[in-house]
Amino acid sequence: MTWFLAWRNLRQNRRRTCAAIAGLTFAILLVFLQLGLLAAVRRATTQLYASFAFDVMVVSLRYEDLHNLGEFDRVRLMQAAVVPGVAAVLPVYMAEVSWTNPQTLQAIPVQLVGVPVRPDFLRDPALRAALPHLAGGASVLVDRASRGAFKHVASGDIVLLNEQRLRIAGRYQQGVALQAEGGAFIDVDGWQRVTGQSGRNISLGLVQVRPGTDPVAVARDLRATLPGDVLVFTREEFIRGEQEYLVQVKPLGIVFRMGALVGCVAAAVMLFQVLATDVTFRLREYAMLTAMGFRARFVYGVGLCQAALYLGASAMAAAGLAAGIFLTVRKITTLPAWLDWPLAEATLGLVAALGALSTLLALQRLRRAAPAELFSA
Amino acid sequence: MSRALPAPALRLAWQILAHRPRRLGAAAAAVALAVLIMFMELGFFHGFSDSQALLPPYFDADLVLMDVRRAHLNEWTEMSPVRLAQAAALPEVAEVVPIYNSGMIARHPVTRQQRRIYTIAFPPDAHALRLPELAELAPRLAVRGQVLFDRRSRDLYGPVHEGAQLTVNDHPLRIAGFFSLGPNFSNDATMLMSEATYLAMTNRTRGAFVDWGLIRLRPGVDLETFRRKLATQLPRDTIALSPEEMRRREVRYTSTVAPTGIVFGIALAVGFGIGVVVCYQVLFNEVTDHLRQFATLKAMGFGSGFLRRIVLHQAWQVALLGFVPGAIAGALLCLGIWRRTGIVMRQTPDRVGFVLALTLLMCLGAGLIALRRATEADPAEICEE
Repeated sequence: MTWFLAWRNLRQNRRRTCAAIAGLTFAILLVFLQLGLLAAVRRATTQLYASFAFDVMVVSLRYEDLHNLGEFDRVRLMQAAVVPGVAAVLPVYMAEVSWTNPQTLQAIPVQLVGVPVRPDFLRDPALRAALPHLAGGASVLVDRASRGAFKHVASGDIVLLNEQRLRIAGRYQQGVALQAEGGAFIDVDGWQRVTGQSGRNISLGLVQVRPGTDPVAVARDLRATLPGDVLVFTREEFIRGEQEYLVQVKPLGIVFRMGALVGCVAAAVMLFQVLATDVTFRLREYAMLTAMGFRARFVYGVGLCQAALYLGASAMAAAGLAAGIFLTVRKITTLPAWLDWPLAEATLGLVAALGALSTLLALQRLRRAAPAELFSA
Repeated sequence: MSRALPAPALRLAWQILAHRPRRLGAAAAAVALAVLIMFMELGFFHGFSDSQALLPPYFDADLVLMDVRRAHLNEWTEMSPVRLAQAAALPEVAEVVPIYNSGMIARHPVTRQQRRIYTIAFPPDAHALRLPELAELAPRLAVRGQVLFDRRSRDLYGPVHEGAQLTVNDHPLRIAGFFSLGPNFSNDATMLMSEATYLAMTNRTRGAFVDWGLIRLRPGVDLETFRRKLATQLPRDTIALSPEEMRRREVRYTSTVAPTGIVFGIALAVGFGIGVVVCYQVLFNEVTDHLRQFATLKAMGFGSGFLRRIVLHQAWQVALLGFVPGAIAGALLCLGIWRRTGIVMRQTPDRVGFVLALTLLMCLGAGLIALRRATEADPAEICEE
C-alpha cells in the first residue's frame, strides 16, 4: 500500500519525475566516474607488477617507483632461493629504452622488461603463450595498449630500441604507466644487448613460496637473511604501497575524491529539493490521509518509498551510463577503468547515506500535514 | 499590446523570481553547485598541464637550445656543448648560458627511503631563472655544496630549513635558502645548484654534456630572422624554442600523453548535465506554479512570445545568480587545492568566461525545454480548481 501510493505519486507528474531522476542520475554518475577513475589509476600504476605471479618481492634499497627502480646484485636472489619456504625465484630486468620513431626521429620512452623464459611467473595467458618466441634475444613482445605511434608497430616489423634492431614476435594487452609511452618484453640476452648492461644487476626479484607457506613469514625470514641493500615486501604490501604513493603524495586521490564528494552533495541537494517540492505540493493530500485515520508512520513511509524509488531508478541509470563511459575510456586512453562490485558498493553506499540524510530533512515538512491544514489555504 | 517591448517581460520575469526569495536562493545554490563542478574539473584539467609546464616561463632567455629528442621536461636527452659554442659564435648572440638538469636521489635521514629531487644547475652569476629570490640568493650557490630548495616541495625529505643537510646522490649538500616554484605530477621537489657543484656530483668536467642553452640576443636583433639563420647554422639534432613555445609544447605533450582531457572532460560534461536538469526543474516549477498567472496574461491578450521571453529572462537571471557564488566557491576550492597539493589551479579570465558561457548555455537550454509548459497555459485554466 505504501509502495503503491509512492509509485502512483511519482507517476502523477511524469515530467517532473523524469527531470528529478535525470538530475539524480547525473549526480550519481559523477560519483561513479570519479571513484571509478581513481580505482583505474591505482590499477594502472601497478598492473605491470600485478601481471607477474609472485608472493614476495625483493627490490633495491634505492627503489623509488616503477620508473626509478634502482638495481641490486642478482646474488641476493640466489641467497633468497635457499631460505626455507621459497619455491622459486625469478630475476626481472627493467630499463627505459628509447624507440626512435622513424618518421619524426623523436625518441619515445619505452619500458623494456627483460625476463628469463619462465612462463610460470606470468599471469597473462597471451604473454605466457608468446614468451617462448623470445628465446635467443632477437625479438620482443610489444604492448598493444602503448600510446602514440608505438602502438601502431605490427608483428613481424623491425623496431629500433636504443639503436638495436629487433623483430616483433607478438603483441599482448597490458597498458603502460604514465611516464613511458610504450611497453615491451624481451629475453634476458636481448635485454643485455639493447641496454649494454652485464645482467649482474637486476631490478626486481620475484619470489614464489611453497604451497601452504605463509608469504608474511617468508618475507620476514628473507628480511633477516638478506643484507641491508635490498627491501622485501609481500605482494599485498608492495602493491598497496605503490598505490598509496600515487594517491596520497601525487595528489591524484584528492582530485578524484573531491569530485566524488561534490557529486554526492549534488545528489543529496537534488533529492532534498525534489522531495521537499513534492511534499509541499501534496501537503493537503497527506493532511487528508491523516484526517482519514492513517498514522504518521504511513505518511512518512510514503515519503521514504518515494525517495527509495528515485534513488534506485537513478542509480541503475547512472550505473548503465558509467559502464558505457568506462568502456569508451578503456578504448581511448587504455586506462583500466571497470564498473565492478567494490566500486558499485562504494558509490551506492555514499549516495544512500547522504540520500537518507536529505530524505529525513525533507520529510520534516510532513509534520505540518495535520488535518487542520486542510482548511488553511 | 501583444507586441510588448522587451522591458516589461524582463521586469516581470525578475518580479516572479523575487516573489519567493527562499526558493530563488535554493535554485541559485543548485546552479552554483553545477558551476562549482565545472570550475573544479576545468581547473584540474588545466592544473595538470600548467603544473608540468611551470618551469619554462622562468627561463631568462630569448631562445632555449636543446636536443631535438628532448620532447618534454622529463626527457633527459643531453646535447653537446659544441652546439652552445656554435650559437655563441653568431654575431647576434650576446650570451649563451648552459643549464644542467636531472633527477637526483635524496635519502630521507630517518627512514632511509630514496626520493627524487628535480635538480637545475647553472653558473650562479648568469641569472638563469627569473625567480625573485634568486637575484639575492645566487651568490650563496657559488659556495660548493650549497643549494636552494623549493619551499613548495612535498614533505618527503625530512627536515628542510636554512642550514639543513640533505644527502643527495650520497653527497652532503646544505640548504642555503628557499625559492618558490611548486611541485607537479612528475616532480615532488626542485633544487637549484651551481654548475660547479653539479659537475662535481656527476663526476663530469665542464664541456662534457649540457641539457639546455639559454640564448640571449643583442638588443635590436629580430627573433624570427635570427631563428631562421640559427636553423641553417646548426645540425638537425638541435632545436631552439622560445620559453613560451617550450611551455606550450609541454602543455600539449601532457594533455596528449596523460589522459587528462577525457578524464576531466567527462566530469565537466556531467557537471553541465546536472546544471541543465537543475535549471529545468527550477524553471519548470516556476512555470507550473504561475500557470494561472500566465493564463491570465494570455487572457489579457499577451501572446506566447511574451510568455516565452519571461521564461528565457528567468533562465539567464537564475544562471547569473548561480554563477557568481559558484565562481567564488570555485576560486576558493582552487586556492585550497593549490595550497594542499601544489597543483596550480588558475582561474584565468578565459576559463571564467568559458564556464560563464556554459552556464548561460545550460540555463537557456533548460529554459527552452521548460517553455513548452508556459505556452500550454490556457486562459480556461484560470477557472480550474
